[in-house]
Amino acid sequence: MNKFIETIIEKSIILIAFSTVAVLFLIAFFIFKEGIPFLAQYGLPGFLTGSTWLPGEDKFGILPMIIGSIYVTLGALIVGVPLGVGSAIFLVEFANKRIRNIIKPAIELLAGIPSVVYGFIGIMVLAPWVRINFGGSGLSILTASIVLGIMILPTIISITMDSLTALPSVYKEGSIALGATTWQTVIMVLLPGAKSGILAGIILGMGRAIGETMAVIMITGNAIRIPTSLYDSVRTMTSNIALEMGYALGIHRSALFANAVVLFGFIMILNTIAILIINKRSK
Amino acid sequence: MLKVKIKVDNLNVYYGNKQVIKDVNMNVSDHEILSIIGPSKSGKSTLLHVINRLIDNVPGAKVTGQVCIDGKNIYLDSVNVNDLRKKVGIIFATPVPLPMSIFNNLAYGPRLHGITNREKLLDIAENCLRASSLWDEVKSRLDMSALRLSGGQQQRLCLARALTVEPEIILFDEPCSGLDPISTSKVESTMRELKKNYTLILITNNTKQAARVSDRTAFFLFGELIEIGETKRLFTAPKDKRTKDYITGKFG
Repeated sequence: MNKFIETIIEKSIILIAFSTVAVLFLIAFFIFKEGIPFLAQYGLPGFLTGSTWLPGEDKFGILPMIIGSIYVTLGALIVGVPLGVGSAIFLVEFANKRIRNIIKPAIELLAGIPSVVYGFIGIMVLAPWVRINFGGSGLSILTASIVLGIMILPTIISITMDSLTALPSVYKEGSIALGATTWQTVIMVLLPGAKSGILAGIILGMGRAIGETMAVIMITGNAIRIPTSLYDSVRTMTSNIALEMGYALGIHRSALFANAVVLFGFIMILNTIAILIINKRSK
Repeated sequence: MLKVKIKVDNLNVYYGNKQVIKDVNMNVSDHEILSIIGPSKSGKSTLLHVINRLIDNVPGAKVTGQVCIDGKNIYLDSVNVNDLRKKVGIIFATPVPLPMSIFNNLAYGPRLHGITNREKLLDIAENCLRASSLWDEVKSRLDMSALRLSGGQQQRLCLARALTVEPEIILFDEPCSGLDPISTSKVESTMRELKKNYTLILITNNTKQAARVSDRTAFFLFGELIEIGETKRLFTAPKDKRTKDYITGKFG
């Protein structure tokens, strides 16, 4: 009887595990089912490189959105990577246990704040500041970069910390024994040693930044145009879908699905790179 | 009498409330190989960590007493720890190649201390690899990752790396514990070569190794220095009964 129950539990756990994969496939399937026919009809090159998005006139070019997504994501990395890697180094190599016990949970809490709250802070606090100091509407690449940079901090910090602590402690000892200071050891031994882990963390953070929607809608201004300065408004791929899906019909709706296919591709590529890097490290 | 290189006076070391070295007094002469033998937990490794102040990085460790190198107390505030560690190299039980190429492992120390000229770094690397008798085995593949060397080669690489910063004293913390007999004998003959230019302290669990390579031997037990003297004399006619019991294998 006990054995029977064991078997049931085991099988259900397997089922549950596979349902995650099934959900992933379902999502992919539906996006592609709606998006691919449109791409076949409209043409992928025209869709990717077209710079006008006028659904009313059947013009569907998502280049501005692709560029918007890339700029905002890069901006987030420029803000988030130095801060994140720096914090991780401090927490692992310099901070004492008490400080670490205060800062680490605070960072984890940062990950739990809903993105709409980040967006709210961005629109109420940061955007006016940018508007006053740099001009423009304040709803800009710069604002979004700062907010997203902070949003990806927890990912980058925790993965960087993990890969730094995973290094054998003898590396540090060996380096210190040669007369290196802690800082020299960090720069010359530990960072290169943890390079692949840190890179994986950065790419996961990048995936998070490119996929973020709510905060981005609130702080980028959502103008459909190719930006020429840091203080311009942009619209990202995610915002485009979220803003228009509510009322889109027919071919417009299919175009948004095609947009999702492109986004899906971007994120898949980033995650694959991250997984490849992580696997290479564990070899 | 040879010149005294290291002088240890009334040394006590505590980890928290636990005393791991008890009132140790000893001298190490210039250009000698001193072996330290004793069962585990007898404070041997701690003593090495005291001599190059790696013990500073051990949380809760407290050192009292004096350790002088060339007559200067290394525990004064005015001492630059990084310079001290440059002067006092250490080889660990497990080889610690840094995760980079062979050449970069060797260039690491000199770079820390301001040498950037590649020619000069190559020179240093070659000399030190020759001194640790590794040159012939690796000269054609200096750009290979050091992690791909065998255990014995890694250990000799670490030795070469310790030499790159021109130390005066080299501490060996059971350098051969993970090595096969052939690698061990290579490391031992290297040590005898090094004696001409350096002062060596060798911790070993292998009493035969102590007898083979060292000029003098010290026997530690539970943090106390039981006996120190000429290696030959200590192994043939130990003065203390505990020393005799240890080297004849009655315990430990």
